[in-house]
Formats: sequence, structure tokens, C-alpha cells
Amino acid sequence: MTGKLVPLRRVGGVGGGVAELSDEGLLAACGAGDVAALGALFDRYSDAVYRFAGRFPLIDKVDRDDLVQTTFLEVRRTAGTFRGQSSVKTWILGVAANVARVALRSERRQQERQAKYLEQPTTLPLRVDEQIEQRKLLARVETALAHLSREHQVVFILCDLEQLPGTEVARILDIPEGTLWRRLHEARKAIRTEIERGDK
Amino acid sequence: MTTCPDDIELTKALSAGDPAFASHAATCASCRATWEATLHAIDVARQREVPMPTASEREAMRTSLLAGSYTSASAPAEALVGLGRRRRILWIGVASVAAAAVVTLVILSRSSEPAQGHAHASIRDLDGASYKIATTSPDEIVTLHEGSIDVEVAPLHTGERFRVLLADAEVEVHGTAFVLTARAGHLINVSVRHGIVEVRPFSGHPRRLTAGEAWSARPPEITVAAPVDASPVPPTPTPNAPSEPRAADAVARAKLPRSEPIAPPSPPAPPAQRKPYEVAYADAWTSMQAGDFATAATAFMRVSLLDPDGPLAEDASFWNAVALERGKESTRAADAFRFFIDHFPRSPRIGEANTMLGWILVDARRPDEAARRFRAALTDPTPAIRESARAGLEALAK
Ligand SMILES: [Zn+2]
Repeated sequence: MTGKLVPLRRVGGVGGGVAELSDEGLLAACGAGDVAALGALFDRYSDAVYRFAGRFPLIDKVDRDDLVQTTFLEVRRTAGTFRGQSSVKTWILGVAANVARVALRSERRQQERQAKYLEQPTTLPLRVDEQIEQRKLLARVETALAHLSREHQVVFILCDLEQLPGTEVARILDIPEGTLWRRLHEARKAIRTEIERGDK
Repeated sequence: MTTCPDDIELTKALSAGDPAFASHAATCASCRATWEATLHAIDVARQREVPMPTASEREAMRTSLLAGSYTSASAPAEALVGLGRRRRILWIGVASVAAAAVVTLVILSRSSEPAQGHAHASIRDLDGASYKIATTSPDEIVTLHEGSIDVEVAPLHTGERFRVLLADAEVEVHGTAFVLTARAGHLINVSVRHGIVEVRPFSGHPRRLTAGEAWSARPPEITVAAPVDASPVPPTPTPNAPSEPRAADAVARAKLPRSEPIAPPSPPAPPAQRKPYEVAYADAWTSMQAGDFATAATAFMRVSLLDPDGPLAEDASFWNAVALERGKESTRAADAFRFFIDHFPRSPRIGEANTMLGWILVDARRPDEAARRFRAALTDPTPAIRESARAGLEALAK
């Protein structure tokens, strides 16, 4: 069965507000045009979406905020398509991932920003060797991530940084599981290689 | 696992914490090195700083989102065309909290003929108020941030709505007269002269007010001047937790005579103290006992969703899978068991979950994963589970 799970009954009985609706109930209400439900979903999951968006390498604030807003507009528009096959949080992150795939693809802009980022003079407290090493390590990871395709970035962020189960990620991105594992392998390998290169 | 896994197997094993691979890595230096280097890379990547928005940035986003969703609600759904819409709908600012002028909105019922296709409300600006008519009939929205406006609303007919949207609440009018007060976009007070008003704070209970009633953002939350129509009393949730969850039934398919009784859900607190996830948990067991496995599965899932890190989440995740299995939702049950195994790798039920999943996969003719799941249960401390896992592997060998 792939029927939609919509427990619309308010938890706690009569008088419960949107704040007490289940996530699925909120999504259903949101799909029916209930703005308070959209607000409640934003309250519950904007943190997760901001964090997800902020994990893209070299993303600036304008792009991040655009990504967050477009995600929630898409959540409202497509709420009716939720089929209960993952948690609502995972589903929303899937929407965000698909928005990112479509919208964050200005490669040239990214490359320009990347060049700027790499040109930045290092203004570090030179006394603290460890901090410098750590900073260099993070910069290498940032570089490795920035060189990955958007598809690889999305998979790595969802699986390894957000720690969502691979099977669910494949489903929300609508890609075969095999593709997901291959991309994840390639992303991990690229980052690992970059770190190891720096160690030498 | 005696041979080294290939790249993909290793990738999956690292994500799922595959015990078979863990035991292989314990004896294989090469795989262990790859494993550790990969974990290190992931660990470093997790340490990257993720800048989060300030409270006021988030609030501005929330408001523009809600206001924007009104404006676009009347337009046909457009396909995603990319970013850049934010600036267009970010027309209401909420950052200025300094000027805390009192907003008074008076809405009066008017006995004229209903307007058709145009605004029901005529709005008069009293003191340079910051407001906007976001949409017109049949679903009229006025957003209000600061200042005072005087509004007259014509009687509404079926299918027509009139609402006032604030940063933290919305107020819906059902042919009525009332006074509404706000500060810096935040709703402070509503009092009703006649008719019906619904107040919906975005982070609290909605409230339907009738003549003589008032709503206030600060406690006491509701002051009833002249109670016209008292709210119905919520039904007392049935507090009886099942004394014997059908644990034995649940594992019967896996031929697992479970020796120790599965702990029944903790005794629910009195209704007033029960948290939503506790209510859902008790509901789930009531449905389970009634044999309504679909409802039980949904309720168990709700427990996990309401309180993903709470004390009942692990149990609820396991029983969600069991309920799906008992309801013959094999595919979803398999997913639910995988989810449980991935998320609660240290659960004492992990062997049981692997075994039950193994048997589902036998039926689904997925012998490879079934074997993997059975093998993961071979070291379970409970003899009956180890036995069932061995039986599963034997069944696969035939
Ligand atoms: Zn090996």
C-alpha cells in the first residue's frame, strides 16, 4: 500500500492547535491552504533547512535564504504529494535538495566565488599552530566539496552530514539506490583524497 | 564476511553500521584503514561551520513566507522556475521592534449587500499605519504591522473569508464586530462585541471567541466577560495501557518464543500531564490490541515524529515496524525495520528486528539482504533469536 498517512486528528483532543498536530497533519493542512500550518512547519523545520542550505560549500547568505524560502514555498505547493514513505523532516529536506539541484546551479558564479574564497589572505593567530592546521583542513574539505557536482554534494550532505538513511535519501531524490551509493562513494573518496593530499 | 567488500558495499556498510563488515574490519587492516580515513573525512566535513540566521532574520523570513503564500494562493500553481522570488514577496518588515505603537483595528459589521468580486472591507488609516491588502474577495487578507486602522467589513457569505494576518497570529472574521490590538506586528488582544472571531496564534491554541469574550497574548489567556458558548470539554483519554502487548504474536512469524515479557508501555500519567507523544503511544497500543494495525502503525510513527529523541522513540520505531508487518504491509514493514536498525543500532531489540526483517525478505525473494540480516542476528544474546536467525539462513540455503 502506498496510501497517504494523514492523521488529521489533533493529538490531545478538542482544542489542540496546529502546534499539536502531527507532522503529517500539518502537511495535509498546509496542502489545503492552511497558512498557520505552514507557519508551524516552518517553526519545526526551518532550522534543519537553514542548516542543510548552509552546508553547501561557498554558499552566500542571499542564496541560502532564497533556498530556504523556495523550499517552504515548494513544501506548500507540493504538500499533497507526501506519501508517508519517509519522515516529514526527510521529505522537506528532499524538497530542499531538489530545489538546490535546480536553483543552485550557476556554476560560473560558484567558480567566481570559489576563486575569491581561495584568494582570501589568511589572517590567523599564527601562534596557535593547531588552529592553523584545523583551518587548513577545513579549507581543503571546503575545496573538495566545492569541486564536486551538485548531485554529489547533495548526496554527501544528506547522508553523511545530515545522517539520513541512504534508502530514504534515494527515494526522496528519486534516484536508484545504486546511483546513490556510487555518488556517496565518489564524494567521500574525493574529500578523503583531498585531506590525504594535504597530509603529505 | 571473509572477502573484502567492494567500494559500494563498503560505502553502504559505513552508512548502515553493518555488523558483518564491522567484524571483517576487525581482522582486515586494509579495510580498517579505508574505514577510518573515511570516517575522519566525514568527521572533518561535519566540523565545518554552518552559519545560522539570527532570530530576527528568521522571523522576517517566516513573515514573508506566510504573507507570500497568501498572495500567491489565488494565482495558479507555478512550476519551480528557480530562486529569486524572495525579494518580491519580502514586502513586510518585522525588524523594527523599537516603535511599539499600539495598533487598534476596529471591524464593524455592515448590513449592506455583499460585495461581489471586490473587497468586503473598507480600511481607513488612522495614524500612518503599516498595513497591506494582500488579497481581495473571496479570500480577503489584510496584513498589519504597525499603527491603527479602522476597518468595516460587510457580511460574509458562503465561501467568503476575511482575515487579518500578523507576524505571530491570524484572526478570522465570521461576520462580526471586534477590537484587535497589536504591537510591532504581534497580536496583543482581541475582544468581541458580537458575532464570531477565530484567533489562531501560530504558536499556540486556536480559539473561537463569541460575543463578550476576549483573547489576550499574556496570561490569563482568556478572560470571559460573558460566556455565551463554553468550549466543549476535551474527552478524557482512555488511560488504560495494554497489559500485554502482543509481543509473542509479533515475533511468531519468526518462530521466536520470546521468554521474557516485553515491558508494557510505562503507565500513562493523568490526562492533564500526558504529553502528546504519550497519548499517541497509548493510542497505538489500544489499536494494536484491537487488531487495527494500520492505525497502530500510524500512531507509533507519530510518537517518533512528535518526540524523535524522547524515551519512547526507540520503542515506537520498533513497534511501528511490527505493526506494519502484522498488517501485512511487508514493503513498508521492511523499510521501517531498516529505519529502526539504522537509527537504534544499540537497541536490545536489534537482533529481533534483523531477524524479523530477514523473514520478510525471504518472502520478498531478496535472499542476499535476508542473509545479511540473519547473520547480523547470529550473535544476539537471546538464544531464541539466534536460533531463528540460523533457521532463516538454513531456509535460504535450500
Ligand atoms: Zn578487507
